[in-house]
Amino acid sequence: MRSWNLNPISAFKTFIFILNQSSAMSAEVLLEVKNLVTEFKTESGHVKAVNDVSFTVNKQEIIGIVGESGSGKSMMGKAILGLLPGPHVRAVGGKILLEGRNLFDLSEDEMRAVRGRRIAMIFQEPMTALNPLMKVGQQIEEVLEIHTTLTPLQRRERVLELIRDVHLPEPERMIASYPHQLSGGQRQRVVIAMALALEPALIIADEPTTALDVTTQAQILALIKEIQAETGMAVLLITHDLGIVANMADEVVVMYRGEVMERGPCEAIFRNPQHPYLRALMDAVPKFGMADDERLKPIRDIKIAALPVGHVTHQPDPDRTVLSVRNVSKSFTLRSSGLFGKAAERVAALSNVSFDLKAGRTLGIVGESGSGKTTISKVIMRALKPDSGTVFFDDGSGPADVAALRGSALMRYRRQVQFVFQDPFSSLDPRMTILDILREPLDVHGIGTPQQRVERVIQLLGLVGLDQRALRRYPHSFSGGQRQRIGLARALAVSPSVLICDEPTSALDVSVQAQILNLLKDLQNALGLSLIFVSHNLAVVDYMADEIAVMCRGLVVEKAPCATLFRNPVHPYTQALLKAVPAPDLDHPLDFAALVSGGFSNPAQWPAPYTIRPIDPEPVLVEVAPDHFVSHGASLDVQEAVA
Amino acid sequence: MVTPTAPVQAMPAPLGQAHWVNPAPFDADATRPLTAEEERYYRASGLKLIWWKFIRHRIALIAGIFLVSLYASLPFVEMIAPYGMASRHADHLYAPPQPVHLFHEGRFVGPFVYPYAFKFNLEKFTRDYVEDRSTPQKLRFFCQGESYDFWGITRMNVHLICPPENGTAFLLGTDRLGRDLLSRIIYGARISLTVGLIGIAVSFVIGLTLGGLAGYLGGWVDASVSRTIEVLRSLPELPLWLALSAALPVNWSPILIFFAITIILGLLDWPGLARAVRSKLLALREEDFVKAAELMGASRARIIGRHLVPNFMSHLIASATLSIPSMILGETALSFLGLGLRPPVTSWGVLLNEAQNLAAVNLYPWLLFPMVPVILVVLAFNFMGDGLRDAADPYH
Repeated sequence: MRSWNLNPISAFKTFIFILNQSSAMSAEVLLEVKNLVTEFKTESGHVKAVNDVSFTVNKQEIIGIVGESGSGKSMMGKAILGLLPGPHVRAVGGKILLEGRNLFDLSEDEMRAVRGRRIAMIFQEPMTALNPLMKVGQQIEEVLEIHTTLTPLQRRERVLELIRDVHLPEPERMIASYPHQLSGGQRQRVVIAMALALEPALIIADEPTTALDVTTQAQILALIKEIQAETGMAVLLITHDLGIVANMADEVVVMYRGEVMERGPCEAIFRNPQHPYLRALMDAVPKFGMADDERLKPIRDIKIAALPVGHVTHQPDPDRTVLSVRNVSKSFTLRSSGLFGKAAERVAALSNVSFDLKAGRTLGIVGESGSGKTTISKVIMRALKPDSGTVFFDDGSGPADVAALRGSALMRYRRQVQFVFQDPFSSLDPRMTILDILREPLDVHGIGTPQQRVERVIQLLGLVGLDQRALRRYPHSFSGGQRQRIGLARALAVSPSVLICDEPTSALDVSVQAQILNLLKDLQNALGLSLIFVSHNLAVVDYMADEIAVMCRGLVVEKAPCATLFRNPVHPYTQALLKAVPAPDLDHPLDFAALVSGGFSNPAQWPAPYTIRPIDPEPVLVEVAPDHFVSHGASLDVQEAVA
Repeated sequence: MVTPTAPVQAMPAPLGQAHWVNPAPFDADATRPLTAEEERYYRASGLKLIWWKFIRHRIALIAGIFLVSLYASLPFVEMIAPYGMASRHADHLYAPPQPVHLFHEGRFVGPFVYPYAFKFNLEKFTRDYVEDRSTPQKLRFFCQGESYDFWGITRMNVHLICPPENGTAFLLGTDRLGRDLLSRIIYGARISLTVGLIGIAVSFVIGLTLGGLAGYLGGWVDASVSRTIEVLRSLPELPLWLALSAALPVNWSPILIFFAITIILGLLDWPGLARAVRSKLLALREEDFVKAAELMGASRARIIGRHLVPNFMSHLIASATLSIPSMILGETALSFLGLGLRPPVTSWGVLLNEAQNLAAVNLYPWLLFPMVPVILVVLAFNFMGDGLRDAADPYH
C-alpha cells in the first residue's frame, strides 16, 4: 500500500491491473458482516436498530442496501466505519471482517487508517460534507496530506487528476473555488473525488443522490458506476429507492426494521422476489404507464370511514374551470453582496405562467428545485403577490380575481382553497392536541357550535383513517405518515373545493406514500375535490394527475394531458426528466450514456426551436397537438409562424 | 458491470451470494396494544414534557428545589432569624462566630454554644472573645424570643432558633454595632432575592414587547429595535449603573430607592431578552404550522396568542432565569460601592459594604460571609436556567 502511495498514478494502475487479474479467477470477499447487532438506548429501554444482519461484499461489486426509514440501513454503514455515535448506540454482537480482519478488534488509530485508506464514505448532503471556508482543491488535498507522503507538487497533480476523473469542468479553476460557488451535483462530485483520493477498496455511499434533482441524480449514479468499473473498487450503496438499486447494484440486501428480509443477486431480487415485504414494497412504488384504474398497494392500507352524513358531494361539472392562472410572473431580489456591493440581482422565479384547473380534476405540476413550482402554489394561496398576471377563482358564480378579494370574500376563498404542506413535522403546532389542531379552521371560520365542531373533528379523523383516541394526543406521538394524514384532515375541515398539495409525500417512505396517494384519490372521488399536485417525482404525478404542467426555471415548458405527455414527450427537458427516473425494473435500465452530457435544465442549451437565451424575448407556448402545449423560444420566425 | 449477474435458477450463484429469504413470518399489520406508559406520553402536553425532561436534569432539579425553598422562606424571615434585623448588642461588638457544639466533655448534649467572655486587649487594641468552656448553653428551637411585627398584622415572638436563656448565639458573628450577622443575612435575602424578580419582570415586559414587535413586524421596526439593542449593549454597564443610581435624589425614602434601583437594573437588562424573543420569533414564523394558520385566515392576534407565544414562552422563561443572577450581582455590586441601597434597608450588598476596608477584612473576616449566599444563589439560578433551557424544547 505504501509503495503505490509514493507514486500513485503508475502504482494505482498496477493495482487495478492486479485486481482485474484476480477477479477474473474468482470473486474475492472484501467485507463480511456477520450477525451484526447494534443497539441504542432510549427512554423505554434498548432498541435493536440492526438485528442479526449478515451479508458479504465481494471485490469489484456494487451492493445495494435498500430499506425504508428505521430499517437500520444507515446505522449499518456507520457501524462498518466504526462511527456509531456511542455511548447510546453501540454494536453489541457480531463481526465485521474487512479482508479477514475484524474491525471491532482494531484500536482507534488502526480504525482511522482503515477509514481513510480502505473504506471511504460519500454522504447524503454534499453541502455539509464540505467545509465552506476551504477551497475545493485544499479539501481534497487535505486527505492526501494526512494519509500519504506525497510532495505538495505531487498532491496538486493528483488533485487535478481526481477532479478530471469525476468530470468536473475546468479543473484548474475548480480547485480554486469554494463549495458555495458550485451546484449541488458538482459538490457531490467533489465529495466523490475526496472519497477516491486514496483509492479505497470500498466506498460506502449513504443516500448519495437523495438531496439532488432527478437529472443530476442520474449523472451522479452514472459517475459512480463508471468509476467503479474503472477502478474496480466495491461500493456499498445505501438507499431507499428501489429504482436506484435496480439500476446500480449487482447484489441487493433488503432491510426492514433492522433485519434482512431478503438478499441475493439483483436479477433474483427483481425477477423473483420472495418475501412478502419485498413484494409489497414493489407493489407500492408508482410506475410509469399504470392503467387508469390500477391502484398502488400500500403495505398497510387505510380504511377510510364511510362519508359523514351532511357532507354534500356536489358532483363537479368537469367543464368548469375552478382555478385559472394567467400570465403570472414573479421575480425575487437576491441580496446584493456587501454594503457597497453591486446592484441587487433579480431572479425570475415565475415567468409568464398560465394554466387551468378543471373542477374535480387533478393538475400535476412537475419540476426540479428552482423550477418555481412552490412559488406558483404560494401565489395561488395568496401568500405571495405576483409581479404581474392574475389568478382567477370560480366557485360557480363566475371567475373572480383572487388578488382583489377583500374581507369576507377573502375568507370564503380561504375556505374554498386549502393547502397540504410538504413537511409533516413542521406543519402541526407541537403544543396543540389533535383536537385543537383540527378544530382551529372551524374556529377561525366560525363554523358550527362548539359541540358540532367536535363532532366534525371526529368525522375528519375517520375520513383519514385515524382512531378517535388520537384526539387528546399531541403531534409528537405520530409518525410522519400519520401526521400527513392529520394535515390532510385539517385541510378538509372546512369542506374546500380545491386542495393544493405541495410535495405531500416527498418526506415519506414509499409504502406510506402509497397510502397517502390512495387516500388523496379516494377523497377526491368522494368529495369532488379539484387537486393541484406539485411534485418532483414524475411517477407519482403520473399516478395522480389528469393533466400535467412541466416547469423549469420558472417556465411552463410543456403542458399536456397525462397520457399524452408520457406517450409523446416533446420538449427536451421533459424527455430528459423521463429518461432520468430510475425505474425498479430490470427491463427499463437508465441510459447512462445519454445522461452524462448534462445541461438539461439550462434553457440556453436546449436545441432549437426550444432554445431560450437570456437576451431572447419571452418564449411562447405552441400547441403541437390538441391540448398539448410546448414552449418554444421566441425568435422572430417562430412568432411569425404562430401569428 | 464487472461481476456477471447470476441467473435466477442458479442458487447459489457462482460469484455472488445465494438468494436468501428471511423465513420468519411477516405481518405488516401487526400492531401491539399501547402500554399505559405510552398512552401517558402521547397525551402529555408540551409543559409536561418539559417538566419530565427537567426533572431528569439532577443538578438543575436540586438547584430549583433550593431556590424555591429560599423564595418560600422570604415571608417568614422574622421567624427564621434568631435576632431582629437591627437589635444591637453593645457588649458584643465585632464578636466572631460562635460555633455550635454537640458534645460537652464527651457527653452528648444536643446543639449548644459556649458563652463568650470578652476582654479588651490593650496591647493590640483589639477585642478578644474567649469561649467559656465550662458552661454549655443549649440552643432553643420554636421558642419565645425578641418580638416582631409579623406582616404588619400581629406582634409575635416565636422564632425557629433562639439564643440560650441569658446567653447569646451569634452563629456568624456580629458587626461593628453588635448586630447578629446571620439574622441580617436572612433579612437581607428578602431584598436581594426580590431585586432579581422585580428587575426581571421589568426587563421581561420591555424585552417581550420590543423583541416581539421587531420579530413579528420586521422592516424598520426591526431595524430600529436592533440598532437600539446594539447601542445599549455597547455601553459599559457598571459606569452606567453608577451614573443612573447616583442621579437618584438623596431625599427619597430607602424603599423608593429600592424600587428605582430595580427598575434601573431592568431597564438595562432587556436587550438580551429582546434579542432572544426576536430570533425565536423569526425562526417560528418560518414554521409551516404558522403559515398554515395564516393561510387559514387566522387573525394576527390568534396567530400570536395560539401559536407563537406558547411555542417560545418556555425558551423565554429559560433565558429570563439565566439573567436573574446578573440582576442580583448588579444590586450587590452597586450596594457594595455605596451607590445602591442604603441602610437601614438591608441587602447582601449593603452587608458587604461594611467589609470594604482592609482592616475589617483582616480583623473580622466573618463580615465577608454575605458573599456565600450570593454565590450559592447565582450558581443555583445558572444551573436551573441551564436545565430549563435544555428542557425548553421537548420535541428534539
